[in-house]
Amino acid sequence: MNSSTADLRARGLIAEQFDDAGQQHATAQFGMWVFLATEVLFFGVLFAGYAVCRARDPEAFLLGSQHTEIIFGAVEAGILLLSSATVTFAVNLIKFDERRVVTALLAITALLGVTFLVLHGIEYSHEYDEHLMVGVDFAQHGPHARGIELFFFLYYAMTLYHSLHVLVGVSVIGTMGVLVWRRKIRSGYTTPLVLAGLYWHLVDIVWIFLFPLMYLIGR
Amino acid sequence: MNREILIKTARTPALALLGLLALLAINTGLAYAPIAQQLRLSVKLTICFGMAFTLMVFCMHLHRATGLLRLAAATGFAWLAIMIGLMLTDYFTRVPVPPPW
Repeated sequence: MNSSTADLRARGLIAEQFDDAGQQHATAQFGMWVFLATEVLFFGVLFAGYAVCRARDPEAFLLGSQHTEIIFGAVEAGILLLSSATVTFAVNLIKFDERRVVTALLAITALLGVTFLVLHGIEYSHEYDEHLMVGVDFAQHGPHARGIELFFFLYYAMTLYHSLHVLVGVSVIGTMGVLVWRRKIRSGYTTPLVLAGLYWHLVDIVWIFLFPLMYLIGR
Repeated sequence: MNREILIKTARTPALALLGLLALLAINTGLAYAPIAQQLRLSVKLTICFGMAFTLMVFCMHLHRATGLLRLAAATGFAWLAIMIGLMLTDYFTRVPVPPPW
């Protein structure tokens, strides 16, 4: 056992079933990827529902999408892409023990996540004003009214679940920032930050698909 | 911070970000392009997969991951493709049979 492993084990950072930090890191990363695969399937069911409902009434989905705000959706996509870059930079940099910069990058990432949530909240308030809130205040008329309602049901289900993931991601990234600042995560033990980064990127990937399917059709 | 470290750690995320923002701009611009809806959907989804691939390879570090990790990463999407593929195959080929009464 080398001194680094002994030190990490003494600090309780390596579980007893692992030989060293490298083995634990590889196992944790594999576990995280399997978890992300289940997340892909979780959102996949909603995307599958979207595909069937859109195939049943494509015109309604085009009309429904015209009510969404493309500028908000595009800016939110840009924000998440930028946050993915900052978290990747932080994960790369932690190996060099640049504590201050990594903490700042994680704070920026969390702040970008909060900005995303605020923008989405503004969007929801606009949709409420336009009577598009399914189950609360929905007032669309015409032959495609039911289809538009179904579009907005899926829109809220998918974007709310996604926002919930962003909220969890913000909490996790914020916690990582605190742990890096307190030197609990540093070169030699970066596993929690790497895993948090993977989760954050998945949240971004989901929005990459949600944005065109919800905002860009019917323009 | 050492300039060498900065370049080493920031280059990949910066290039990936530029590529992703360019693809996002193309995807958004396509929404207003005068092309058929079905073709537009195919192009948009292709760009989405390109963006997801870029993110997974360069930001999630799959380019230097082990084979096992790459397999785990592909598994979710493979199962998703099977699920949506089989479901849509059933949906588009099922012939409604009216009840005999």
